Amino acid sequence: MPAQQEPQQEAPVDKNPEDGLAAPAADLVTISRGQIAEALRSPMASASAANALGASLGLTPLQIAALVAGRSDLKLTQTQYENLRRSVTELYQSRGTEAQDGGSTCGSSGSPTTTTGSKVAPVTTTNSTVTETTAGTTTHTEAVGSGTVTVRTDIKGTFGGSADHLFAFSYKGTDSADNHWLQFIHREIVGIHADGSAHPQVGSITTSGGSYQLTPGGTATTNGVPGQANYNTDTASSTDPFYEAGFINNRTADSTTMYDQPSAAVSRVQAAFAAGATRVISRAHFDTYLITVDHVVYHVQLTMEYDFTSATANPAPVSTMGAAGAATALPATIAAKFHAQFPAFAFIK
Amino acid sequence: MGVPMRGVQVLCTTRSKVLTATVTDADGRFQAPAEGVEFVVARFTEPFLGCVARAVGAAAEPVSISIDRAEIVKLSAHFELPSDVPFDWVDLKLTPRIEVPPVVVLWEPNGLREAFWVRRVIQPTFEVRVLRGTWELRAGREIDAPMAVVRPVNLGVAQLTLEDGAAPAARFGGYEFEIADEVTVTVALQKI
Repeated sequence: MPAQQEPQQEAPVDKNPEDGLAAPAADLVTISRGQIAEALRSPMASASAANALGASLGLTPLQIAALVAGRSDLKLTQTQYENLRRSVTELYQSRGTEAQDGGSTCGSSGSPTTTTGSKVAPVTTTNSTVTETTAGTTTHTEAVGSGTVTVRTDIKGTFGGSADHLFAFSYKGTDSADNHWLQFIHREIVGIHADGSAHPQVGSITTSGGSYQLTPGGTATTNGVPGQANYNTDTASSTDPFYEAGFINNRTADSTTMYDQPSAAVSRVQAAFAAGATRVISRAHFDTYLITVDHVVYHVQLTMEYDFTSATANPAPVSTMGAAGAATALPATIAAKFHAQFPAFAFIK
Repeated sequence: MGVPMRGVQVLCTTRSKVLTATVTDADGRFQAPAEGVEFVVARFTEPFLGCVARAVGAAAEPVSISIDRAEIVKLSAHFELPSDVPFDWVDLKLTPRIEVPPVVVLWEPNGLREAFWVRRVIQPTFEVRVLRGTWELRAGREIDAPMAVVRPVNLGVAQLTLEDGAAPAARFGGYEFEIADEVTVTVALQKI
């Protein structure tokens, strides 16, 4: 049974670098000129370091100069990106050793002011991004270390924007400065067709902290099972893995609270309807860990689900809390993804 | 007789379900169990995009799929952004609409693709060769970070305009249009 094509004289269009097409969406990472400028403001930055890192990527001196001058973004494949992260980490560690009596400094821009090679530095500043207008429902409270973890759902709040179904994880204790939230997300978009069959969508999600694959295997009533490729460290920073680094949170002298309400991923939901679904379920799953100084002390799971019964529906999300309790380490699958994304934080096991 | 195509993905399907998948060998041939098969669907991703379905006779006779060069045309497009948004990247998503449903066209072993073909475009223009027929186009620049203190600029399609000035209506967020010959479309993006 042959599949044949008339002879082609021209090169394949999607291999031509001049045609504006790049690698599959999941394979490219963009470092914007703003991020480059921010990185170059670091006390660790220097012209020689920029040249060394640029050369390791195969860039010409002119291209490096364009990046340093803020005239160009940098687009990398995932492999190049991981290599760059590794090189930066090594560079920081070697310079930190020289400069700080053996301590190695890791990039940590958001919550901790300084992070050394084996621990996360305490956060002594306060922050109040979210104003709660409704405190929501407390679904769990538990003593952890010398403080207390509280889980709440359906909080209404303003933070520049506003949201009506925020969930919040809080730690309150005298040692709160040493505690940080580390959250991992995986997502499912499941189309349910007229015959009742479930069709999980596959493909990648782009976030401010990296890309990850949608989790397959779910149905209307059961969750898919994530692998390493399906998890993502939920951070707005490419150098600081903690949720507080760029997502909404409040920190006082004796507490740290993170707030979240995932989007419904509406464009993906619409694509599922276009593929024949009569109902689409969009689920975001969270595994969130409380990190004290350098180790995991607590884990809480929460799922937020949007159930679209039609393409024009605008469903409210429903939060369901899963397991919660003391923990001593990240699960192997999550740890593998985390350490690949943030090798400088490999001390968090 | 044309050039045999190696590595073309071939799906053996009913009208709504994929029964088995295989790829063509160096001679452009494939073999698959025929029981219950109503259609053979070839999915082409290079050097052109397209999907071709052939009905399978009751006698399970060999199925031959040939693509004439005249069936391959160039789709060109230009992205227009809001004036205060510099072009960074846009995800372009194309799906052919053929006689078998999307559940076949978009099939993967573990689910359905969002679109038949997805590429991150890093210039405001693109060209791609496609088979003539009806296509759905989706495009956007979406960074999932709704709770970021500094939210990223996300973009979606405001309007798609064909060469003749026609502007197809959106359907489930996508835009379907007929490609009969070489065509250039303008994709106007807006902040979302």
